[in-house]
Amino acid sequence: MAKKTVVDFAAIKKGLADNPEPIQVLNSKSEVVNKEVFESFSDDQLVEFMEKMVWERALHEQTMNFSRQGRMGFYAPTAGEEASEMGTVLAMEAQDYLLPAYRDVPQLIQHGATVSEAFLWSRGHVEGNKFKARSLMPQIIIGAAFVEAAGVGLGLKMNKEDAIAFTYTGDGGSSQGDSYEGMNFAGAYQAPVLFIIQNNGYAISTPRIKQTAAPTLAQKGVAAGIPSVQVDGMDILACYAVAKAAREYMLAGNGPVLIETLTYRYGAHSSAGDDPKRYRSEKEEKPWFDVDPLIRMRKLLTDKGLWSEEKEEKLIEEYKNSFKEAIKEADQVAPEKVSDMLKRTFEVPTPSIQEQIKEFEAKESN
Amino acid sequence: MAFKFKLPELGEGMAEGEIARWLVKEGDTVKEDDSIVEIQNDKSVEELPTPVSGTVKQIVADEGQTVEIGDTLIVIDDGSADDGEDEAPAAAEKPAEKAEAPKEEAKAAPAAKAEATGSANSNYLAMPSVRQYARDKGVDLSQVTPSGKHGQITKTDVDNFDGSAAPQAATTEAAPAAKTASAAPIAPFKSATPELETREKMSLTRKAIAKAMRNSKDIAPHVTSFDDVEVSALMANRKKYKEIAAGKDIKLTFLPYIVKALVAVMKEYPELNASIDDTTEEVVYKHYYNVGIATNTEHGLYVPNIKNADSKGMFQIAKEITENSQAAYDNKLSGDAMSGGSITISNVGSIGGGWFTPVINYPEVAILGVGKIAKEPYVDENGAIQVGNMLKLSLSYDHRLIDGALAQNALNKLKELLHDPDMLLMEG
Repeated sequence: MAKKTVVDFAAIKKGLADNPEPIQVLNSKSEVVNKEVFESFSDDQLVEFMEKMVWERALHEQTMNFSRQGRMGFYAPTAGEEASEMGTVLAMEAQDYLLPAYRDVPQLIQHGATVSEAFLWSRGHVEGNKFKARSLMPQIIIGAAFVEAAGVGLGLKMNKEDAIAFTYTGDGGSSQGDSYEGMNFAGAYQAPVLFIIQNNGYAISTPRIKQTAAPTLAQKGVAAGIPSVQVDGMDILACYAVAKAAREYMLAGNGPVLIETLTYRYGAHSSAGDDPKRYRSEKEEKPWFDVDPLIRMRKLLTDKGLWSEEKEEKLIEEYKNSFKEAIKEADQVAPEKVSDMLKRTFEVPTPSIQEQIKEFEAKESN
Repeated sequence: MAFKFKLPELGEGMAEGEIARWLVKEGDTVKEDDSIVEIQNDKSVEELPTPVSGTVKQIVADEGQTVEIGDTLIVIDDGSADDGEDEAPAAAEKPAEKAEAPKEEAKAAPAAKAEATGSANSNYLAMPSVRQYARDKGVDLSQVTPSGKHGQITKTDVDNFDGSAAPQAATTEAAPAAKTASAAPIAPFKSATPELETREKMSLTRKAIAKAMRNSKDIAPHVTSFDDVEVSALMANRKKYKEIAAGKDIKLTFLPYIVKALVAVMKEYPELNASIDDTTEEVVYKHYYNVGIATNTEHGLYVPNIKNADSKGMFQIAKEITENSQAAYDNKLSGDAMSGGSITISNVGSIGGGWFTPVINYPEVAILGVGKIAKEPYVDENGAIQVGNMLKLSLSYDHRLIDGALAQNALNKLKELLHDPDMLLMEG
């Protein structure tokens, strides 16, 4: 080299790609790769993990049916993300505060909302927001829950509560400015917030690889001074163990943590009609179906004599019946009127809203 | 009492669907969540499950019929209490209500406009960008007929608006006179003998084809060059390898040869494997060779393409052509198989025909029409008249990008390769 350069940018860029392997406990062949962590789980716990994933898959399937029967409003499919969603939420306690996004309805139910409330929420019904769970309603604005979580986390800290805030977004959400602002604020104030990026590969139709030059999404937390890890999002044991460890670390007053779960959205972005065939190939999907979170747990538990096909079928039947009961319950609630929504907008309706209320009440009365 | 199952909104912005297939018939017993009907929605088919258990009392919408959101598809006797005519779960009504609302608005907008004929009227729906566009073009939006959702005026409506015509209110009865404006207005088909005619709704696929064809012709100025080539050697080659192919369960037609030849032509003339991006005024050159084959089926025309034909052998291409056309017949083509094309082949030769003017599969810029091989007199290299096997070629191209000389050079190259298939070994 003729001239000595002041800095080697190429080497720095290359270094960015040098990251640890995603954390894993049970691999896709159902082999235990972290014995110490694995042995911390009781048999009952292992069965519970599987039951929760079967429950979430059944909820997804039944909700898709309801959707095609015209009985749902907006729905963001969750198939493929069971380990990532159930693993993390099961590590939380009731006093923890959830800030979900729209694909996190299963976690919200797990955290205390009823299924019928979730269905009402999908229909845009105000009754769907009256759940008892310590949670805000699922956030529709992409990435915005990260900002809310920072504030809630700071509140928990100031009130000296023995609780953390936990929040979710997707890979698309991590490309939004909001997600960095939320993480930066939580970092600056050392607020106990567990940020979870469920990297399911797509922001609607934009592949993860086209959204950012960052080699991992976990490293987006590094700039905010937050310890950040990648976890195998198809391994419920890893998701649970890492979330649990993060919770303990944060409760000791150490500030926020970021987890990126590597998972995959099996179907469409939403029930509103995007066709995944238009933006990805079956060749790409297949390897993900092979590492399905239910398959690896099913094999592990069956080998241990803790699981059977009959048991799973019976559970699915039970769960689906409970969802059918829940939608009947939701159907009992009178549909919302536009005028009701308008009346709720301001404590004292403005003149133009008053005019609209009158107009809609006239339409609704005939 | 009976439950009426109505068409729910299956996607954002969906207004209607076509009954592709009933999976049940009247008198059948159905269980909640059983699939009962397939609905065709643009180019995808959705199976709908029934929300109730019971006996099918009446199938209201027939196969092939286009139904709107909220229309009753089927009546199922679910043995529930009689709550009157319109009994249904509360939520099932919701999509219907949703569909009602925009209709009202759509009705309201044009009505308001008619009242104020001739005078300036701001009571129409249009996006700010459309309003700006109309101002720049000097079009009075109050005179434009909206075609968009909720009675919105779109940019296309502004483009289609013919300023020389009288205001809407006055033209309702006027016959569409010959106009100089480029875009033809949508006019009803009227005739003196309607009793000698029958009317049928266009299927969604037919509508999609019509739209694509019109779009291509509107955007790309088409020119078609005709030529023919003597292909005795090609026929002999095919005859020789047909048996071997058959042994591998492969049907070897002339198409794979043409695919291979086109790839070689595109390599020499990359303009043929390009698209124009009108928004940036750029020519996009493609470094992949996906050759489309227009496939005619009873439910419509599809153009699946052979992906990366440059990296595949003749037998492989032949095999994929068969697979693609089978998938088209079975209505199982994915969007993937039909997108990202380089150039298209439209082959009518198997039915007959000679030269024709194929329409470019926009946004591609060229399409090759292939006729049948006919025995015709032909003057050979030595000036002697022979009986030749003549293959007719029609190359349509987008003159914005491809000029006549380039097209003819490309055709010459193609002829060279098809006349002497050994050349395909050298260049294919």
